[in-house]
Amino acid sequence: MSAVTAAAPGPETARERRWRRRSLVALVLLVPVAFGEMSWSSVVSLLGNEDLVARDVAWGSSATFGGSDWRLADLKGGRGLDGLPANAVAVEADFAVTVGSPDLQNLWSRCKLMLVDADGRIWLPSSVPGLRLPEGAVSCNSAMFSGAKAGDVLKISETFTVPENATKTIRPAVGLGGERPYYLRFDRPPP
Amino acid sequence: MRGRLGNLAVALAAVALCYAMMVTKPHYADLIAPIPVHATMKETVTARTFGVHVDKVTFARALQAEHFGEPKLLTTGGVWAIVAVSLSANSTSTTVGEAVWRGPTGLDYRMTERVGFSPGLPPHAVEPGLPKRGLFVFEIPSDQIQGATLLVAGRRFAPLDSEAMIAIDDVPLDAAGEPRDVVGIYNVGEPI
Amino acid sequence: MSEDRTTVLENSTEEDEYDDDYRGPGRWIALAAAVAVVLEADLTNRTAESTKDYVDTLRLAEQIGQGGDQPSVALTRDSILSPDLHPNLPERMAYVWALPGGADVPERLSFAVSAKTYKPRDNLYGAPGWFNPHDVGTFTLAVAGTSGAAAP
Repeated sequence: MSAVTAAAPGPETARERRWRRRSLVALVLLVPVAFGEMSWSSVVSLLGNEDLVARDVAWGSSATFGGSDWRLADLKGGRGLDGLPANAVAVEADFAVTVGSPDLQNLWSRCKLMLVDADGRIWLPSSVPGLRLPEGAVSCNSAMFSGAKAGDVLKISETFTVPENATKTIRPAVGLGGERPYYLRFDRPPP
Repeated sequence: MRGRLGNLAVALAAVALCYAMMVTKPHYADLIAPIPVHATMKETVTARTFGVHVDKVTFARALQAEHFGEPKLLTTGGVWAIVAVSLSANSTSTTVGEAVWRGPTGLDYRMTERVGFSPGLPPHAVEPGLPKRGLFVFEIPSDQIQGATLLVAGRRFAPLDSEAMIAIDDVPLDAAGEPRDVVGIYNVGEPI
Repeated sequence: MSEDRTTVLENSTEEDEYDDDYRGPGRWIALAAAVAVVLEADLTNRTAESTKDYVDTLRLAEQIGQGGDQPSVALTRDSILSPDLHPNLPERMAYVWALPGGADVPERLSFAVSAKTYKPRDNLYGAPGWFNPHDVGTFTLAVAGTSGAAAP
C-alpha cells in the first residue's frame, strides 16, 4: 500500500528534471547514431556495388582506374546491319588499357562496360549478329583472366545496340569492382 | 491499489500487443517475396526494370519448333498457350526471362522449356529505347484458361524485385469447356 | 502408375534411338553404356506448381554390377531430359539406368518409390516445399527382353 503522499517539489525533483532533459537531448543524438551503426555495412555494400559517381575523361587522354591506365581508342557506329531492328544502331567501343597492377581479378572484379546517355539510360554489351570485334581485342572479362603483366597494352572492346535517338549523347563508361562507386565516363571522339 | 491495477493493466496490454505482433509477423519467404504489380491485359505494366504489355493469347494443339536446326513437332496432353507480349526496358539493358501461368485456382504453370531457344523466345534481352515483341509459351490443361493470371519477372528467384501480374481476359469457350479458337499447329519460329 | 514395363535395350541395335544423341547440355539422353534398364511410368503432378521432383521418385532397389545409380529421366513424347511436370497434366516418363557392358540383368527387378512430405514453411526460408524423402514401398516387375537378344 502506498503510504507516501506526493512531497512538495524539492532538490530531488529538480535533479530529476535536469536528467530527464539531458536524456531527451541524448536521444536526439543516440537514435541517429544507432541508425547509422545498423545501416553502415549496408551503405558500404551499396557504394561498393553501384556505379554512382562519374569521373569524366577527356577525349584522347587516359585515366588511372583499377590500377591501370584506360584510354578510349575509338567509338564506332553502324546502321542497317542484318538482324537489328529498324531504328537501332550497333555501336562498338574500343579501349586501349595499359596494365599497371597485374592483380586484375581483384581490381577489375565485376568489370562493366556501358554506354550512358544524357538522360541516364544505360546500355550493357550485347552481341550484334555479324559484328566481330577487331583483331586482338578481348572483352573485359577475358582480359581479367588473360594473365596480363604490368606494362602490357590490352585492347578491350564491346558492342552495344542502341536506339537512333541516343547516338547523339551516348558516352562509353567503365565500372570496376575496386573503384565503385566511382566510374569512368569518356568523352566522345570529335566528329 | 489503483496504481498497482493500472500498472498490471498496462503490462498485460503490452504482453498482448507483443504477442499479436509476434504471431502476425509475415514469414521470411513472404517478407522477401517479389513485389507484385497488378494490371489487366489492356494496360502496360511497369515493373522495376521493364515494362510489359500482353498483346495476344493464342491457343494451339501442337507447336512447330526447331531444335538445333531441325524442325520438331511438340504435342501435349493439354493445350499450348502462346502469349505474345511487348517488352520495353525502363532505363538499363535488362532481361525478362521468367513467366508463369497461374490458373484460376492458383496452380502455377511455369513456362515450357520444350521449345528450346530462338530470338522470339525467352530469355528476352531488352535495350532501353528499343522495345521488342516476344513470346511466352505454356503447356496447360483446358480448365486452367478462364480466370488465369500471367506472372512476368526478370528472373526466377528475385527477392524484393517487382513481378508483373496481368489478369488474362476471358477466352470464349465452346460447349465442352475448350477454347473455341484453337490453332492446329503454331510455329514459334515465325516473326511475331 | 499404370502400365509399367521394363525393357532392357542393347545400345548397338537401337541405333536410331540412342546413337550419338547428345546434342546439347542436358537436352537428350547420352547413353554411353552398352546396356540400359528403361522403366516407363505415367506420372501426374498433384502439387500446385510445375516441378522436376519426379526425377527422384523411382530408384532401382538393387545394385546391378557397377552402375545403375542415377537414372536419366526423359519425356517419352520427344525424349527431352527432365522437363517440368505440370499440375494435372499426366505424362509418360522413361527412367533410364545406364549399366556397364556385361552387366547381368536379372529376370525380375525391384524398384523403390520415394515420397516427400509437404511443409508450408520450411526451417530455412519459411517457404513452402517438399522435404524429407523416404521410401514408401517397392514394386517388382518382369524384365522384358534379355541382355543377349536384340531389343524390341
